[in-house]
Amino acid sequence: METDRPDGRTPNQLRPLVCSCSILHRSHGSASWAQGETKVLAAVYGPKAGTKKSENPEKASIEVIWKPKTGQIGKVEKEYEMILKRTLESICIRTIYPNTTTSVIVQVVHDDGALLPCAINAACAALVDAGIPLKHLAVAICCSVTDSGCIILDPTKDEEEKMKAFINLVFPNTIVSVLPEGSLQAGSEPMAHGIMTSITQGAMSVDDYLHCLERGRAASARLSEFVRKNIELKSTSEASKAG
Amino acid sequence: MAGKGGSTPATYSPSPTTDKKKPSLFNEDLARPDGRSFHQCRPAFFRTGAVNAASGSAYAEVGNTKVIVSVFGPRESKKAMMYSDIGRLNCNVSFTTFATPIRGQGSDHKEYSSMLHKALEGAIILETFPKTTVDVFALVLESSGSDLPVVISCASLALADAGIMMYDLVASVSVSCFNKNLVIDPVLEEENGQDGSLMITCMPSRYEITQLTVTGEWSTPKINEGMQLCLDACAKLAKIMRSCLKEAVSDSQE
Repeated sequence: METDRPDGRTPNQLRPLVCSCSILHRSHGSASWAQGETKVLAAVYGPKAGTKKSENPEKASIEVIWKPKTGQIGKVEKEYEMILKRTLESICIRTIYPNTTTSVIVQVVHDDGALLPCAINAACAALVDAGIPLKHLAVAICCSVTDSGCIILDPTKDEEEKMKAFINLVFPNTIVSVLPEGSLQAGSEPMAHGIMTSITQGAMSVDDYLHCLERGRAASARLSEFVRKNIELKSTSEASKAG
Repeated sequence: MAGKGGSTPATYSPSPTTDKKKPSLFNEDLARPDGRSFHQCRPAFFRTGAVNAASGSAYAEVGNTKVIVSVFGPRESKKAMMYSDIGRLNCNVSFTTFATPIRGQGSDHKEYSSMLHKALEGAIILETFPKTTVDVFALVLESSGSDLPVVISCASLALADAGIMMYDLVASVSVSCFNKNLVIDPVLEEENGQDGSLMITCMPSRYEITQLTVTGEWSTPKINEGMQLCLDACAKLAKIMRSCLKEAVSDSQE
C-alpha cells in the first residue's frame, strides 16, 4: 500500500541525516543532529559532584534540561525530559561514577516533526562526544500510522498532524559491548533484537503497533550505520590530529 | 617504555554491578512484598459522583493508591484560544503533599499531565463538543505505586460520569520487569527496583491501544508477553469499571 508524501519520499524513506560533534567548546561534549528540517543541539556537562537532590551513593544521576525553541517549558516538554532521562539512564553505565550528576541540555533549533527521536539521537551523540561510558548506543525513530492503516517512517510536522497515531521507538544499536558475556541477553534473545523505549500517541490496534515495531527496527539498522560512521570519522580525525 | 613483544597489555573492563548484592525484593517462594503472585493485580474499588460541584467525578482505590478525578465542562474555551472545529481536552495531575512517603515528592511527576492527556485523547470523540474545553483534574491522595494507570482509569470513569462522548472506556495497567520475571501492577518499592516498565492504556472493547509506554531494556518476546498480560488485566479492569457505572445509574433511578 504505497502512500504519496508531500516531499516525494517513500513510506520507508528517512529524511537526510546530518550530525556534527564537538561544536560547543565550553561543554564536555556536544552534538547537533538534524533530520530534514528538524534540528536539535545537545550539550553534556559532567560527571560533576551530585547535588543534594540527585545524589545517589551507588549510581550516577542523569539530569535532562529541555529548552524549547521559543517560550516557556510546558507539560509536553516535561514529559520529553522524563522520556529522555529514562532512555539515557538505560544506556549509561551509571555504577562507574557514583554520587555524580551528568547534565544533558537539549536545545530545539527547529521542529519539523519527529522531534523526540531527533533529541534522543543528539543526546546520545553528545554523550559519546563527552566520553561518558555507555553500554551501547541508542537509535531513535518515529513511525506513524495513517487513517488507512499505512505505516510511514520519520514524518514531517504536517504529516504528524494528519496521522491517526504515531510512535517514538528507541532501539539498542549493537550487541558488541563492554559488558560481561551474556549480560546483554534478554531471555534467549540478544538485546539487539529488543527495544529500550516506546512512546505512543493516538489510538491504534495492537497489530499496527507490532508492524510499526518491525518497520522501526528495520530502519534503525540504517540509522545505526550512520551513527557508527559518524563516530568512526570523528575518532580517526582526532587520531590524525594527535599523530 | 615498550612492553615485551609477546605479552598482551592488561585491559580494564568496567563492571556494571557493584560487589555488594542488593537484598532480593522477592522471597524464595516467589511472593511479592504484599503477598501477591507475579501476575496478580491489587484489589480495585471505583465509585462515581465523588464531587458534587463537578460535571462528573470518580474515586479510585487500587491497593493503597487512592485517586480522585473531577471533570468540568464542556465549557467555553478561553478567548485567547483559536477557533477549533473539535473540542479541547485539558488535563492536570497533582499530588497532595502527604501522598508520598517523603513530603512533596509528588512534584517530581510533572509529566503525568501530558501523559494523561495523550491516553484520553484517543478515546474521546472530540468532534461532539466544538469550540469548547473539557477540564480533567486528577488528585492523587495516596501514592503507593502504579499511580498513572490508576489516574487514567479513574479519569476515564469520571468522563463517562460527566456524559462526555467516548468510543469506549479506557483502562490502564502497568508491568515491571525484574530479570526474567514480569510483575503486574507494581507497588512503590517494586517500581524503585525495576529493570524496565511497560504501561498500556487501551480500549478493551475495541482492542485498541491509546497509549503504550516502554522504558528500560526489553526483548521482543518479553514485550509481547507483557502486552498480553496488560491487555488481559485491562479487560478485567474494564468489567469492574462498567459494573461501577451500572451501579451508579441504577442507584440514581431508584
